[in-house]
Amino acid sequence: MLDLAEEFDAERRGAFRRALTLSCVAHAALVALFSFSPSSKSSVPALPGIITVDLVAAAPSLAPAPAPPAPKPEAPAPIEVPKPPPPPPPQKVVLPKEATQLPEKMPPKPKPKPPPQDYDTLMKELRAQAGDARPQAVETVRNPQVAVAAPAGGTVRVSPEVAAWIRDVKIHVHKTWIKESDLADLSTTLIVTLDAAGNVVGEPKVKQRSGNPYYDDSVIRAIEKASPLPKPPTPGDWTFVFPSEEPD
Amino acid sequence: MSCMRGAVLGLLFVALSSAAFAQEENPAIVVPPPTEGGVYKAAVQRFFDLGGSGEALDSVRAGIGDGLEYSSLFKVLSPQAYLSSDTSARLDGSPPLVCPDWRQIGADALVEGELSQSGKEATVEFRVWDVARCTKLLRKRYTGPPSDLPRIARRIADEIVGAFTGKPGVASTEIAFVSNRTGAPEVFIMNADGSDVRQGTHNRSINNFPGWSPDGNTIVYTSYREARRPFLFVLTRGTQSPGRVFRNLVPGAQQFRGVFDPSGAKLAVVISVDGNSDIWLVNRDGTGARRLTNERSLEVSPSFSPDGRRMAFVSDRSGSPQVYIMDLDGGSVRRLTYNGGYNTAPAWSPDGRWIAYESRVGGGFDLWLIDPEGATNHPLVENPRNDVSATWSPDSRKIAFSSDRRGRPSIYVVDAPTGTNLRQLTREGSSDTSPAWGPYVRELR
Repeated sequence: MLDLAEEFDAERRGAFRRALTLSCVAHAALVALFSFSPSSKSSVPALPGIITVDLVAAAPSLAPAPAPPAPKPEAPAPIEVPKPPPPPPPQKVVLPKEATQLPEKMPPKPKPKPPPQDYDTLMKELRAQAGDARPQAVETVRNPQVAVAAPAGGTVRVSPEVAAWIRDVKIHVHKTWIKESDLADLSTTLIVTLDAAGNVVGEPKVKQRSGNPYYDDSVIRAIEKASPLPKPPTPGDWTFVFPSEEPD
Repeated sequence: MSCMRGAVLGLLFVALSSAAFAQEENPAIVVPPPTEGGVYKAAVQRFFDLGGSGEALDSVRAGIGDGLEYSSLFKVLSPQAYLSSDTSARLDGSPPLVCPDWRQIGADALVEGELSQSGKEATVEFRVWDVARCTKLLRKRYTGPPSDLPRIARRIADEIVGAFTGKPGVASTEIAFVSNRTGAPEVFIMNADGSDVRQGTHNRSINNFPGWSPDGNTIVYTSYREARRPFLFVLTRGTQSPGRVFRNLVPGAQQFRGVFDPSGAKLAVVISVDGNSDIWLVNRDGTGARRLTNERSLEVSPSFSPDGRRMAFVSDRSGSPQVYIMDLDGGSVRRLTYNGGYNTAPAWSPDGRWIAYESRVGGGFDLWLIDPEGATNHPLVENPRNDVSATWSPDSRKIAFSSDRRGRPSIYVVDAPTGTNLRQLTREGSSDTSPAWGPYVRELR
């Protein structure tokens, strides 16, 4: 078995060396090609049909796409979603020790709450927030991957169908959640088992408590009331995160 | 041999990659919080009759419903929508609850119970269901004279609010205020929803500034009933001998206002000597008097922080009345309010997050909220006329105040910090001023 492993290692090293050489040659060729290409800077194509949807409500949003440092290939490559930076540590707001002079003109009274929205309006608004005004955008997407939140933080890339389902589920659960307005700085994570029809199976499991049991209860209630959810892409366990504040 | 090795390797690869695939979790779904808090919907069944009068059964049901809606956190569903029985089953030995029937009509809470009445004693037992989870949240029993049933019903409503939110409602608490409805300004007490007004003082003198002890048994107030000069008196629940306190605090000095500290062991007293008022701290029995402010300016309107270690008060040391905060240990003082030229009557919320105060804007006073660090400052209620004398409910969700927005001053209540759900509590055509919201009442039997 040891021999086998060593031999496998040796084989792998050989394969690796070959791949490395090939890769170097390919890179060199690409660099050469782009250095002499006449249509360089002005022709960064708007990739047709590609959506960059920020569905990541709580996790740090995708880092803004860096300015193109070099001419880009024309090939319709998959969207390279930059790995988001690790979430910054929660900023502690340091309040001034001394009362500060307030301006003579006082801030206006907080605006009255908007009237309750219906499902379609809310849906449209959330889609617009997500940078996608087209209701069926996913069908026209050529790129098969959309970045969404990963359970362990950061983002993962999923198919547009899954992204669309997640978006609908969010709206569904958002509408059933009753939360007292003065609760702040809380977040609960649930593991919810869904069957193929979208029914919540059993009681959701609390993966991470918020520290306020009534808050935890409120989000479990929201999930239970939302059942059945839209039919999931795959039945099984899904992670739901409920932050008490709208992420920036 | 090499073929076998290849097969083993292949199997190994398949096993490893499928394990890795299995570990790959579904993406997380981050649900944005509701923009509005939302309200719980409650179905309150008519309680099972164990020998109560129909009237009592109706009043308990209505009282629980009113108490729930007073919280602004619940809405009561019409019984016409029920798919199940309008009347509660027995709490024990009945078939299991059909939760989907209640889910289907949108109920978050189901309240069921039993009422029995025998002679001078009524017993109410209730149970609350969390319909979404189909679990029992709370079951409790209260006993009292039949005349106590409305109070018990409000208390049940407060408990239900607490079972869902962690903080009980305040429908069963009381508000003291001053009214001239019987002629001279006297101290009155009413339920937090404005019902059942009782007269506290009957001295036909001038009475003002009622303030509750933290146990809810005593109200301290200022009265001109002796020598036509202001001194402090107390009303005590269940006793007939309201009397003057602090007779020898500062001989000859007038006592303008007393405020209990959160422990109930001490009071802050506004004392005026030769026209200069300062704030003193004194033990409840009158001993240990300590002068907290010693300025030539006027210092009035003390309000303790919930931990009792700080005090908001008003001083005109800067040339105009403004709210200041004093550290009771070290005595350090800082100015809190800067908007406009006249800010007064601070009221520190029981949860410590806000200080409500009156600010003169244009010709009249509005109520504002500021946090104790002075970082956030915004109006709570605005009106061309006067909104004054803010007092917090014990759950810090509401503020009662006096306003002349509809003519003579009346007592109003509004949700805090939003300023929504304004509700007028008194409508007597008298002048109703100086509200003081009492603490959570003691445990009923």
